[in-house]
Amino acid sequence: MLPQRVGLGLKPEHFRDILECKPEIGFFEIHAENYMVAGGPLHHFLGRIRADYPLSIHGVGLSIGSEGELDQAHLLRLKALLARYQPDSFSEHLAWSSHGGTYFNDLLPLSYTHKTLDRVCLHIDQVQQFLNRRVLIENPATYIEFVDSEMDESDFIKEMVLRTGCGLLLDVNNLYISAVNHGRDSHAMLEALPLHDVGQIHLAGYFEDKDSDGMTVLIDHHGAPVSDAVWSLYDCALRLTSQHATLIERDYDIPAFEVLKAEAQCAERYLAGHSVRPFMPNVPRVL
Amino acid sequence: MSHLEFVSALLDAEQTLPKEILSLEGSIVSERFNVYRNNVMVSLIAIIEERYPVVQALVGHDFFRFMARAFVLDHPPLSPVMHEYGEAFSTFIAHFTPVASIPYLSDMAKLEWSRTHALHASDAPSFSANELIPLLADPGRLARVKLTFQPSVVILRSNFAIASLWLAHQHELESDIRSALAEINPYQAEAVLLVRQDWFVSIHLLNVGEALFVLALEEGETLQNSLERAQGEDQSFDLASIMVRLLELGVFTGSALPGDLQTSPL
Repeated sequence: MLPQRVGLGLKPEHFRDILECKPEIGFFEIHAENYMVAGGPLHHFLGRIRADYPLSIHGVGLSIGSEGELDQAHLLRLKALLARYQPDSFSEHLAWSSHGGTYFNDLLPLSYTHKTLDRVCLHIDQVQQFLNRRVLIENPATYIEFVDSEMDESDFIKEMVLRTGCGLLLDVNNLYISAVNHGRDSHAMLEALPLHDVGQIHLAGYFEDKDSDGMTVLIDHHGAPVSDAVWSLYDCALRLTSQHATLIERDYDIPAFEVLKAEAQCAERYLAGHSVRPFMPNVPRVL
Repeated sequence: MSHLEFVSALLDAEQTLPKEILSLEGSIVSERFNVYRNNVMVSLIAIIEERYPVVQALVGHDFFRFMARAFVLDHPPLSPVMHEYGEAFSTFIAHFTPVASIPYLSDMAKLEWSRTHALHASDAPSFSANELIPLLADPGRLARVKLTFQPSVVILRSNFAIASLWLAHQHELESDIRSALAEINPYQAEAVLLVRQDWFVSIHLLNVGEALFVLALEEGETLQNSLERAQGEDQSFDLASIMVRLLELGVFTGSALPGDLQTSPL
């Protein structure tokens, strides 16, 4: 399990800074696929940094929501990577990104039907069995929904967690983005999730755009600091969850390490305001 | 919602959207779907851009994006491992008629792909020059030595001055790049060796004899046969100079003496 601290996404441009300065950071997270190479600097530096810090491995390419079967070659690559780095957490997404042998390099949305639920649960079972560990699944940021959906996203996630025993990677930024994009109340969406199964929290920045009719649309781009609205929703999430390991994601317009470190310290101040305690009895346990 | 319908519309802006898509109001459905179209295309073009900076400099930013988009549509990724994406770009460029007037562009893409390959190739301990010392007293055995290369080593031969052009583009100032390019005849054939050392990939120009020598070694020829091949084409071939360079760059991982039971390491 990850420490109840704030972590940062590990970026190659920061490898040397981290090794030289040994900054006070709770953990680092990598995207699994970025380290699926034979050798070279990525493994060299990750190996050295891993020796000093807890590690979270976050997959972006397993395509758990695919209509077809899981990619066995990719599962094998994941298994080898996890065996090599022994991460404290492994997570993936409630999304799909491959179809018919083509990989689309984006997290595509699912319709929340019983049929999709069966398929997603089967795939999560297969992943957990093959990797021999519990995985955390991240709630998505979406821009569209589907008329054939038969349940809310939160009900889908609750059922997925219940059936497979996986954990929830609560991405507060994704939750806020989806709430705004679909005109929902982000706090109600948060409270409807299986919060007792949260294993990690993600924070990131979004890009704000406008639809042609003037409505705000938020795009999950991980290229900006965490917004005030997301900080405030994070504060609520900390009140409602007992697992507080928090990651700040930044994948574009990557600033100097010190800038990310300052953002991590900001999150640490929120954490300090919510000392970790057992699950609060006044929050309905959804099972 | 069928994923087939979704992905058909994802890569083709002319395709009608899957009918099951719902968003707040009907009029903005296509705009919302365009977020996904945009994410897919922009992220894949960005990967190609990052991997081929000199190809981009040679054709200009806007044209490069046009060409990269055509490549992405023609060769969408087949694996989630993005480090493997884009290898086919040089072959694509070779058949992409709008750039037929830049005959060296495809080889430049090959050189840039080789840099990515070399950066992430398997690690192997380098063979030290000291290991050759015991053989120096026995020229007969030395001549029969075969040398194995680092997995990161790539040797490329081109009918064009790809290494000089690539090196010219490494200057920081636009004016320095222009003056370096002015000195280069792009139609001069060149050979180049890439190798990763201290976690960086370096690019080294080889003359004709050096290229033949290194290629022969890479094919598994003995030192003697490789030397003869180089001398056959290049009277001024300097064995000592190229061997010192190769050993300094750490391109060898080991040696073997066929006929002797002794194998690597010596």
